[in-house]
Amino acid sequence: MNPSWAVFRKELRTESRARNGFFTAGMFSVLAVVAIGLSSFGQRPSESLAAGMLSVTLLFSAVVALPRTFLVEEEQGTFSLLRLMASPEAIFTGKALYNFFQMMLTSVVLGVLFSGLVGRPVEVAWLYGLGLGVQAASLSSAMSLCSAMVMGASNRWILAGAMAGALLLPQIALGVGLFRVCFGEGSLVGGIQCLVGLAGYAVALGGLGPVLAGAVWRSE
Amino acid sequence: MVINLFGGTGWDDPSPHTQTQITRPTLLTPRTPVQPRHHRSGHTLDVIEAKNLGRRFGWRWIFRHFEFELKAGDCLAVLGSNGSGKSTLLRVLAGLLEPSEGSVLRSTWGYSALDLSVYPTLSAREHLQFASETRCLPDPRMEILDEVGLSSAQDQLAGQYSTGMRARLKLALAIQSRPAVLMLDEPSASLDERGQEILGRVLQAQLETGAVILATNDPADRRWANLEVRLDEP
Repeated sequence: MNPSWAVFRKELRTESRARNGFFTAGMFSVLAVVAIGLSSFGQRPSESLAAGMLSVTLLFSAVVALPRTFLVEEEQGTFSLLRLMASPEAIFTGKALYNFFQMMLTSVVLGVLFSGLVGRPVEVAWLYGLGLGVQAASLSSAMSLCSAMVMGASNRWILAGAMAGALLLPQIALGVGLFRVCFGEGSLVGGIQCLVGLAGYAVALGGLGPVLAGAVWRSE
Repeated sequence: MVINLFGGTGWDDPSPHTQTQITRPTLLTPRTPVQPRHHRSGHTLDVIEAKNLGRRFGWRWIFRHFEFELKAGDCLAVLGSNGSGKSTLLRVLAGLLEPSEGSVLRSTWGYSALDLSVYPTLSAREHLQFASETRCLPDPRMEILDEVGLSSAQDQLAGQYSTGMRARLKLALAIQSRPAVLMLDEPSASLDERGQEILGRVLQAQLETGAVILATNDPADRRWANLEVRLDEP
């Protein structure tokens, strides 16, 4: 079996028992969408506003849940054990895959709830579905990379804030641009460009992650 | 003579960055005359070799100019007071820390330490299964759980284990791949009488085919060693 796949399965198994990530992300997503739905009840938010709210909700779901996959290893002292079993590259890849899986589930739940509760119909459904998937990939790549880089640092939260800000800002811009088109504003070409931009971001960070994690973890 | 041991001085470094205190030289002393133990193949087996090994945190050298080689049947005890760098040395030898200088050549190895934790939401069986998958071992060797006395608790989550049971699980993980060198940091801490017996059997079996490195403060653990090294502040 591929070591990365083994790490992914381990994450799935431990999470299915502890349920911390799913609970945190699910709770946040549901509460955020319900709050947005209640506050905009009887109104029809503009396409841009709806796109902004959806992007921000996705972003914060990722920020509250995904770093845990890495940080919990450091907090419970199991990271050395994991390092003894698998290469840093395999560990990063397995954990990033798990983060993607978790973020996909969160995005599906959030996307369905958002389109149902917020009074803004989805005009381009295929782009909406694809956009949620690509945004999930992009956010999980960025958060995995960020968490892997800072997990061993004593000032990890300061570092995480600085890194996440730089990594996530372009994603918010691209996400808002993409979902605006999904809600019916702007050209389809613009939406597809944003989608491709997010996909490129996901691939670049996902490809860079194992290399950087290997370099940083080995030198600690 | 199996052992090739050189203690560097640690004080003669011309580097301008070593104004801070340098740990006293590695001093390796064979306790008893060592006879080469032969592997099944009939040859003595080099299982680990450290060349000019050094590790520093910031500008402070924890150890320096550390050289040794061990063959099957050798047991090296790393001694020293708290904070002298025993655990750091073992972490470098196990590949968990990069050496600041020098290199380590090693065959397969297993490592267990007091500060290593196991997954509280996985059972002992799942730990071994996971380790065999990540290490690409064809067989997870579940019979090891018998050897370390955990077979009756193999499906219990490790979070429900006592400290001694966790130590035995870590030992099982360390020997799972039949390592050529077994590195144990404070192996007998937290083990009861039965745990000590199990540890003794594991060490005995390991020394039949491979080498052992023990970092310890417990004088009783020194009985296993034919070599000693003391890491202490000068």
